[in-house]
Amino acid sequence: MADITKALNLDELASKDSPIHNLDGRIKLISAVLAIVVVAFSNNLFIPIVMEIYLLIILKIAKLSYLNSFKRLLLLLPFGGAIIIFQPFIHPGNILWRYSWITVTDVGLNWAILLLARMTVSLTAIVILSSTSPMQEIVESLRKLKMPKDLAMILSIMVRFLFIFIDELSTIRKSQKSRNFHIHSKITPYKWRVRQVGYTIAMMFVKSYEQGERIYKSMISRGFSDKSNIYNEKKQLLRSDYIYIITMILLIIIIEVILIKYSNQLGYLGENLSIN
Amino acid sequence: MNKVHLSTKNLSYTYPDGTQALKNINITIYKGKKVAILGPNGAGKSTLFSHFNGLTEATSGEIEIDGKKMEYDKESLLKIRQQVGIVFQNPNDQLFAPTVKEDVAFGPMNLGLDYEEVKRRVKESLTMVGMEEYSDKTPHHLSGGQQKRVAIAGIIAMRPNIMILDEPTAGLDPEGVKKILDILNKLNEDGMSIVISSHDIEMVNEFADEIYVLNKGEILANGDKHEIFSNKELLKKAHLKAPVTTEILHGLKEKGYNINTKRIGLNEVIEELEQLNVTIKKENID
Repeated sequence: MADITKALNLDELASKDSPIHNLDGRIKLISAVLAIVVVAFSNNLFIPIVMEIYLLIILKIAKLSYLNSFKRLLLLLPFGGAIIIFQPFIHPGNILWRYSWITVTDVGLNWAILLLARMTVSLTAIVILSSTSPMQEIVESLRKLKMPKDLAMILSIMVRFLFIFIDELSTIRKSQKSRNFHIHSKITPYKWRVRQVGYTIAMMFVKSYEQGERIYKSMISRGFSDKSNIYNEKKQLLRSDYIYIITMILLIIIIEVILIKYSNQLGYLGENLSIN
Repeated sequence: MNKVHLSTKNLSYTYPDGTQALKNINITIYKGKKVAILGPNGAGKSTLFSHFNGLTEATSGEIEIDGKKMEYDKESLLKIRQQVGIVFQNPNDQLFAPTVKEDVAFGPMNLGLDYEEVKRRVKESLTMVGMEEYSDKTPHHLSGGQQKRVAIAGIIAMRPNIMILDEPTAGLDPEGVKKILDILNKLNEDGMSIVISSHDIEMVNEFADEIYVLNKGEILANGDKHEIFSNKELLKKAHLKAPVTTEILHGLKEKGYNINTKRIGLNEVIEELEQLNVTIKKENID
């Protein structure tokens, strides 16, 4: 259940109070996307490094723990990391190291380093976004940024249901635990234990189906139809929101200008490491 | 004041699997009254309620609202659902928006109201149920009683003139029950007809003007609380039990006291006891 409790913790963490937490959701969402886009199109190490330093400062302002954020980042890293790990071995270039048929090339290694840098920054941006905005705030922001109505409704309900299911599942698990059920217990036959887990999953399906029916009934009881709109609260952007996004944009402009003007002085950091 | 608000005529409903859930239900709800449908688990209370706003179409018989027969086309249903607000038993079935205010806004948005009006109604409804400070919270994080009140606010925001509540006090603590009843009494004072279902005898005794006893899909009796709760036979038949006050009056009667067993309100019982001329020793209780 650790993963699920973690998901809940994330929302708790996201509801804390700090200058970053209090920013408008739209601003945080756009900033995260902006940071990701800028590093994804960078072909040197200078941009990712500056961006990462900037994001680490934001992390500090948001009063988030570096250690916990780093752990979260490590959890996410394997998804892209698996691809990066092969890069040094599969690209042609000057051979740096050889063991029987395995070779490491400079081009491959540089490319791997660049990918890792890009990914680290992107994930840091995501970690900051998700630990400073509750899930519903992100959904709300997407809606305000003119996401199609039907998609927004689905997303909205999905986030809400996520919590209902977590509750439902943990209720079942608790009732199983209080009767000494444990998946790794050696006292009961393996097959029987697996079957119990199967029952749990089946029960979640049945419950979700019935819950869906009941919710739909309650929705049409309140006049829901295909013409219905979702309520979006209008929120004014504050000065802090403008400051945050302008700082972000200024930073991007400045690093791009530095890169164009002084790329020779930057040495390895300014080098084009991209393979394409 | 004695205008019929909602009535059913020989309403019957059979489930697709052949189970007959409701048999010849005749109910008349007058404007501005507080009505309770009393019945044990599985009596058909929820099924009956889902007929009141056209969620379920009766197998036979009909429903009239304000003297007009209920039609089941899309336009009429939208109109009926604005007039007849239903609060479901489990708040989780009703609250699905990410925040309280968005949930309360759901109904008014469906009425096609403009933004300012929706905002005003959300605020007004939440204030009415005493939940205005929770408007940005997630329904999931609220307590059962608070969720119930938000669910009621969601219906108030649609400004219905009759409110149907399925087991509004089930699973709530005494304070929570009191808060719900206060809200309902206030709405009723403002002219709204209220229909609740329950098997909480004491609560119904305190709350309802008129009671219908439903058992196994049939109406066994109807009347005010004096008529219903003094009839112990009837209550037993419906798997219910009498309020404590009834038990006291019947107990005294059995002991030979001259007492009116129909006066079951709390204050009435006290009066009855006083007129018995029982000498109660007053001790120095300080």
